[in-house]
Amino acid sequence: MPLLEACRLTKRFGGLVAVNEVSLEIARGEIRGLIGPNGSGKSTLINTLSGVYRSDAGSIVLSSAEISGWPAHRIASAGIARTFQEIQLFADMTVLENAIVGGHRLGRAEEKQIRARAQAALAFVGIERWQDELARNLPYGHQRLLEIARALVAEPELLLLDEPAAGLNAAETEALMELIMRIHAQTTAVLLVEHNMRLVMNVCHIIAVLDYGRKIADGSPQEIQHDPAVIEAYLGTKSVERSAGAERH
Amino acid sequence: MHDAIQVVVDAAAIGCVYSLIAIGFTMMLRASDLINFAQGEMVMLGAYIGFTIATLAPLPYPAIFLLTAAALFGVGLVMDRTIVRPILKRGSPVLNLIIATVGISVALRAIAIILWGGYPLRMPNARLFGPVHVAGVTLASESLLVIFFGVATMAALQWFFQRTISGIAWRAVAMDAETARLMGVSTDRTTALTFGIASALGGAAGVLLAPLYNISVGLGGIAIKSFAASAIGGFTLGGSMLGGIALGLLETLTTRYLSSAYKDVVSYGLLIVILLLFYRAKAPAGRSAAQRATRAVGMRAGIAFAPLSRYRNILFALALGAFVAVPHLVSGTYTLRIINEALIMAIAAIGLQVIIGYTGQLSLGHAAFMAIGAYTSVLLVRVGVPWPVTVLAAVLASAALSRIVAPILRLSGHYLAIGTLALGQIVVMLLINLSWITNGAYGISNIPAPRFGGLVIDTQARYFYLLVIVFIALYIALSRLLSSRFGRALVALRENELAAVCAGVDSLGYRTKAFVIGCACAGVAGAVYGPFVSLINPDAFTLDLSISFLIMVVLGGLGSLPGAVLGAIIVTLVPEYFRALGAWRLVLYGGAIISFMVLLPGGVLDLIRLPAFAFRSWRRLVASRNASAQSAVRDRADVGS
Amino acid sequence: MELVATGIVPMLEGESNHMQSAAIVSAAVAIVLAATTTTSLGAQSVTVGVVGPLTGDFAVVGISQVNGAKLKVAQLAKTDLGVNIHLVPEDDASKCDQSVNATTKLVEQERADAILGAGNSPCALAMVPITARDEVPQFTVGIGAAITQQGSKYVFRVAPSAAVQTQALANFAVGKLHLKKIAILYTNDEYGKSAGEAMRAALKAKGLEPSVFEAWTIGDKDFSGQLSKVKSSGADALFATGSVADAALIARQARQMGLTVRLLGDTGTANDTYIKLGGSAVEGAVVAFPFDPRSNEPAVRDFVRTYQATYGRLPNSWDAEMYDAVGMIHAAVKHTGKTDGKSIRDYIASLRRSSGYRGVMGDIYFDANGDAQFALNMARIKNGQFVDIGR
Repeated sequence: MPLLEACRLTKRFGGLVAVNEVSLEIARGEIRGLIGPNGSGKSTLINTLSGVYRSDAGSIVLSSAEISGWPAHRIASAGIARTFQEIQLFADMTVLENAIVGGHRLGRAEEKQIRARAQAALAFVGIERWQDELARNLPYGHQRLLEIARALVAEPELLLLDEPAAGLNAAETEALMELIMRIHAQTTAVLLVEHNMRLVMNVCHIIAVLDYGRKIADGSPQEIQHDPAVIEAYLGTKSVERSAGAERH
Repeated sequence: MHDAIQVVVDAAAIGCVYSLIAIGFTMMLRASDLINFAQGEMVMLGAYIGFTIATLAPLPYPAIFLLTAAALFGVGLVMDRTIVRPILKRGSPVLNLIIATVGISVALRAIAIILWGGYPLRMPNARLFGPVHVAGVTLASESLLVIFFGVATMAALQWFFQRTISGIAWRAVAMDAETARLMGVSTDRTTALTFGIASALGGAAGVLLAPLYNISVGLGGIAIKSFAASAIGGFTLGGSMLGGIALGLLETLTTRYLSSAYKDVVSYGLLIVILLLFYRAKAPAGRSAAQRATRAVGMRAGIAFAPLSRYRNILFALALGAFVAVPHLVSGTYTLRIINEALIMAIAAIGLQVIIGYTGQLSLGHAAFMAIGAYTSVLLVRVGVPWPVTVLAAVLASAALSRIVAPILRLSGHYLAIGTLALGQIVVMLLINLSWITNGAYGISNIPAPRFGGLVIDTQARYFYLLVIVFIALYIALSRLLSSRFGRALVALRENELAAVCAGVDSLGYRTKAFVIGCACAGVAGAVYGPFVSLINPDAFTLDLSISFLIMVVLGGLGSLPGAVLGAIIVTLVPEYFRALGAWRLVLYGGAIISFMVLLPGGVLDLIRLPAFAFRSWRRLVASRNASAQSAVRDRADVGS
Repeated sequence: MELVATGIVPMLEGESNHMQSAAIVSAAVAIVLAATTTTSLGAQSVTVGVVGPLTGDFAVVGISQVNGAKLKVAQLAKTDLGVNIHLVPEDDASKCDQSVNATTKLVEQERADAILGAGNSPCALAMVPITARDEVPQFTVGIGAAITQQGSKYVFRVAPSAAVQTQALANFAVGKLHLKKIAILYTNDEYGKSAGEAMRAALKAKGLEPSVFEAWTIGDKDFSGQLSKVKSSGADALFATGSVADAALIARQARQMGLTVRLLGDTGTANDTYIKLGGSAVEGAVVAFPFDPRSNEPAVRDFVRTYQATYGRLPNSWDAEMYDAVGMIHAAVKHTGKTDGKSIRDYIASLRRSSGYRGVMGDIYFDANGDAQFALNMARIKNGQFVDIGR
């Protein structure tokens, strides 16, 4: 049985159908990729899965519990953690405090224990020595890592990463790739939304492709790279993608 | 039919005035996220300045109108330059700016009394034409004048925003300040323009109201309703115009066809319903780091106080010793009385700090919950319930009411502010009108001193000990709660609701709990307030008091319990100390508020924090220097090997 | 400190001199006061506190309280070097907790021998326990019934209470003007409710019911709802009470609606503000008239002339009441030779109809509760002037 099963998920904004009957399965411990041109509905899908948006139709089942329609905090407590395309931190809290909030769903566990876990998570992503700094004072790349650390503290079953490589330089992206592999090694499933094809193709087991809110392909990196529908979807925007990619690297 | 024409003209006249003021509110809000509490005073100034111009020179009304608007435009520019810009430049929380405008409002009202006397004035003849007769109805020329100038002003504004470069640039900033800045639009210039135009609109409303009503210091009170109008219009320019007219119509109709006693209850109730229907927060709001997020609070109190924390026990013992000694050190009951009043205010203020400073919910209805506590306790004492029991009942009553109204917490930001304001007004109106329970406007007098069995708290010294015990117990309970998982969740919500929610924090749940806890504190304050003054009446718990609490919380230091206490002390003591100065004391008080907000971004607490912060930075500098010296030694050793 | 404080209030004053530089006026007054308060050796010193709203919506009341009292103090300083009266004004912004604070301060720190205040009834009421306990005579202009019903021997109401003035008004309206259907509009604050309900009771005593009994809220500016009820009730008179500015506005809006009812007014409307704000709309109105600034009594003429010269406006009844209160305190000190609160109180309580204090308000004496006994006349507004029409 898959860890997460989204079935014919639909999200509309006024007249625009941002996510259109998308079905998606994520198995335990797998790294799932989600790609698609700009505006294809990737972020909306993540926001719908994490409960930030309420889906208009379809179902989401997490380990046999129907979670569609649940508020975001409940979904988070059920074991889905996430990061954001635009970094969302608690700017005037310390790095450690940021991470501790990530352990919120652990409930009234021993305060010391949560603290230890938070420190472990910071160490895991490699920013433990900044723990007493205010989050707003961290350099950009570290802010991205802090988001991931915060998401990991509560040991989620599924981690949604929304363009984690955006704005990172080559070395940082390399480190990120290695970090995702280590998260995977902890048996946490990952849904990776990313524009950086090298990253996606290297770490993901299975990749889904969205275009205009619809899923047009789903398969291994090799299959995706040769899928005619995917090539067509990217054709119009290929040059743009490439130049954007070049900028990032 | 006759009636209908009259109603429409009346509604349109007052509606136009609401609209003008509401557009001013909306402009401020769009350009700098500011609720301008001084907007009402621009209206008042407009009326007085118009009066002065009219008495000095026999100019035609249109000239008076334009001159007044121009004068107020100037006032707006001065306000922008001297107060708004310095605060914005420091990247202070927007609440600082809001409180600064409260300071402006307090000072201007007092200055108006000093300059023009407290007596209401009547605008010298401002007639362009006589009464107009339409279909057998006589329409007052004043009303038609208001409609004419109101519509003309709005048309001019429309032209300005749609057709001129400055107007288009302004709209660009209102939509997306960051992008507009990148496109070369000067945000400074936009803010200045905003304050100029918004103040001029307030002044225009004032000079339009002057012939219609009387000119008095209270004229600015109309701004509250205009703020509601701008909320009804969704804080958009066009919406504010329509919102004003709609509110005018609503009010005129309720005045005509409803019991006058419950008119305000109905219109404010309707306002809350409208807000809840149309302006509920749909998705949790994030604050991405890229948006150069403004701070929610000035500076983290906890961090700055960290160096002091190891001496916590000593400090606490010292404080306790001081508390025990105070009644013996202070001569006479007057000083003690003021200290006691400050303590009562502090009890309510730490509650509001939980709501505003910790959780980031702007409540303008705190006094209402204090009122509920006060009335509950006093009324129960009257039927023979022992005082300590009534205190518990007061807390429960305030908490219960806050829990019942908690759905308004679904409103976000400024909508919540206007929603809680409306709630406060409704409670006051109910206290006045439910006179079979509350004794209405007369209030309840001869409230007996608190009694614990045989112990009667009938001196200020005893009252002091009672208050200190209550205060310390609450303070410790709150600070424990706030330093736990609960407090962290609140701060997380304040800092970034989206991120907090996605970490599993139940936003509405936690915000409701914080609201209920804060309001329960106000209930405690109310229960000790009644016997302290010996009389309670609805007048004691108006918006003024809610705003005073807001001042305490922000002035002292947002997001910090000691800050709230400090604020309560300052807000109680400063006007008290200068009481004998009459109206000048409010000029001083307002001036003090403004200067604190301009100079101290984190509130008065900065005076304590900054040295602590400097000390910490210095220690860190020393530590890093030592570290680098050591590593240099190590490097040399490496090279050597 | 006191000099600075007392020097401020005149600047608040006056419509004709508001263009003058505030600083000059205040400096001048301060100098005058400094000169007048220099005491001769052996003079008795009396401290009189004033508690009232010098800020906020009701500042008019507090400013009048202070102006009236201050004028008497200045006059006495010239005529009687044997008694030296210090005036200490304290602003309470018509908030009761502040009135209580101010009273405590006056009693303890200023050692006040008497206190004038508060300007509004609930605040005056809240002060009563303190002035009673500390035996400081309290002189209030508040009209609420409860103030003098607390069993305190130290409170004196120098104004006609709500009951007294509405009774006089009802007598005149029903007896002399033969009005039958009287509509009552009142502010839903303590003042308006006191007066409105007292008027209703006074009419009831005559077997009449008000044709309309409706409230408005301070800050309301549109009275079309209430007025259309008055119109459809077929009322022949309208008593609007609670705020002089609103009463004038109600008169204007009533006339605009074509409502030709006779206007009746409480003592709060018996001043020039009502006429200035109401204009032609208040022409013909009949008001309870406790103090006539155009009286030919020499004491009144002297008071009015000096008042006008100092503040540039005609005095109202609050001015006159506080002027007389200071006069009574002075008389008490003169007669008893003592300045303590108890002696002052005992002397004033001993005043009787035959031996009343002769002030600008007439011969003043008090009943056992401390209510001044007034023979209240009525006035009609004619050509923009109050004309005394007896009772």
